[in-house]
Amino acid sequence: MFKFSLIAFFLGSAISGCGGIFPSAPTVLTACSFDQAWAIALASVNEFEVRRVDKISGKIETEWMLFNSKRGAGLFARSENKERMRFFVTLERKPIGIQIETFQMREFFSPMGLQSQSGWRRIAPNKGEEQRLANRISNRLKAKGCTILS
Amino acid sequence: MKRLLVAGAIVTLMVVPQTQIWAADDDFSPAQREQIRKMVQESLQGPSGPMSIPPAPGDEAPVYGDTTQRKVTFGKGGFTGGGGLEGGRSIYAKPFVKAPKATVGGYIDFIVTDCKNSAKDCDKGLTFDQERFIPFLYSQVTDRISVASEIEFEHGASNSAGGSGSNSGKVVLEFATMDYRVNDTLNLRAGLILIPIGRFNLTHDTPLNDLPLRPIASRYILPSTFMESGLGIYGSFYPTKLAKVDYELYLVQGFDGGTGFGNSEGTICTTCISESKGVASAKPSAQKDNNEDKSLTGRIAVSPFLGVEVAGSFHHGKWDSAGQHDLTLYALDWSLQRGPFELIGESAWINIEGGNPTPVTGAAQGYVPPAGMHGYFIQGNYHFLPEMLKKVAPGHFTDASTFTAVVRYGVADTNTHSDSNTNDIDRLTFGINFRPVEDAVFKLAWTSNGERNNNTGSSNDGWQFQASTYF
Repeated sequence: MFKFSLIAFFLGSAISGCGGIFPSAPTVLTACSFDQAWAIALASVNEFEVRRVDKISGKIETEWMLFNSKRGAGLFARSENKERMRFFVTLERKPIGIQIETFQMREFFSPMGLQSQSGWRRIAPNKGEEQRLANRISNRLKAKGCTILS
Repeated sequence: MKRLLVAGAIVTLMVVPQTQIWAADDDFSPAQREQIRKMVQESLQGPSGPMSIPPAPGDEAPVYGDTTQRKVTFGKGGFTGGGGLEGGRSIYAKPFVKAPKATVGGYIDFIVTDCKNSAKDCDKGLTFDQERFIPFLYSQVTDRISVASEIEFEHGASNSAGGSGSNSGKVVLEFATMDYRVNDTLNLRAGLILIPIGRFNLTHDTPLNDLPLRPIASRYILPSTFMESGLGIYGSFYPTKLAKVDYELYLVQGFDGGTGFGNSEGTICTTCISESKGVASAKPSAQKDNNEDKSLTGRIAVSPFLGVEVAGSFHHGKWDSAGQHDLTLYALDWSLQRGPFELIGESAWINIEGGNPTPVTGAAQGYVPPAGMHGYFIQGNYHFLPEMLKKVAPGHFTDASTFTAVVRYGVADTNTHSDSNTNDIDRLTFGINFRPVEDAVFKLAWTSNGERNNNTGSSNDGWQFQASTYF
């Protein structure tokens, strides 16, 4: 009974944890037209290679961007680990305007031991980077005279 | 004069390529520039004519990763190591700096055990064991080809002082693979492959694990470290922006049940599948197969969103030297992570064709293995670090440090059809570990061992301490 209680405790904790089940990303809600919001969202990711641009569904996906991970490898914290990330910018028509979401997919790779055999594994997005892209879109919308609702 | 010419040529060779490298560092390729320019221009051509985007306060370019501090250092097209790596397509992954393409490292672990009576992996009395020293090598041969390996020196290796008989260690190639990357969804792999069955075998490096002893199921049912010669494919899919599916599929040597199966072969087996050893001693040779049939093994892992992963895996093929009987191993494993809580585990089942609920071992006329086995473990982790420690001893406790409280319950039953199998074991472990950095760990645990059909009343519970780190 004791064993099952422990399992139930960790299962419950792992499922409930903190916050919602699904990850959330920053959003910008604007009163601009869809065309204006789309143009500004697309222009805001122009420094990335773009994998997918679909105006009808309101989706922009950037290509993987690769860089060294700040997490050092091994006891000597060598800069062998890598990270890569890509953005999913989604525009959605809402009753009061256009909502733009900036979601980051982020992955980690380590050549240390058998971790090299697992390839890329997902890690939590960098919330600061997601927010900076959202801010950039928001600022550009404001500069264009668009009202930011939230 | 000749020396001067040679020196001049060397200097030229050293300088010119660098100039080209740095010249290539200034911007995108012309084609990429044109592609981006066209898309942005097309987009900006609204119904009311071209839109211009004036600069706005706080409109600084976002900063991603630490690319401003450290450039990607691997070959032209970018670092593409490991599985399903897409770095080669990144416009940021340029040959900024010439760098070695091989990573040399390793890990070490040292364990202290003290059980009241002998149990699996825990000897009676205080015991020191230099358990593993494992150098590894990872090499990015080209953008698409990589090689990875681990070499294990276990218990001081075979010719260490006092290393004879049951005290002898060994030197083993844990895995050695050559990968060819096609794209994210398809990659080729050949060599001595880590069998993708269950979860623990794919994460068995000691610094990655939170308890000193391996799960009991991983000693008998999913015999970690489980590697076989073979070849196959692996890759990843991204069905949605939240979900990811990873797969691996290999054709491998298959279990080697020895030469003593049944009456016809008439010799005592040396690599029996048995109640006492499970399938651990039937791991095949990396060089030769015991029959002409190969086994198929694979794993598919589904992660609907970050923090949740459920995977199914299997290993199927002939195990006897005549190639007449199947052994099927299948497993389910999972990982749930929310905040500081983590719940991981795996459950595995084995069906052995030709086996019998009453197995026979060591008989001169041959042996008969058990017909079925089962094992599982479930483990809860809680990560924490009191803020006070960072203030009191900032040199030892940093943002990269963490404590983990662990509890694991595991079972291994090497004959599911028998009520008298003495190797029907359960193990409950409580532990705590400290990681000064994520790749180094000090673990302390207390383990309670139970033999369900051999309750002699004598306890073989005990303590374990382990230190381990990648280097």
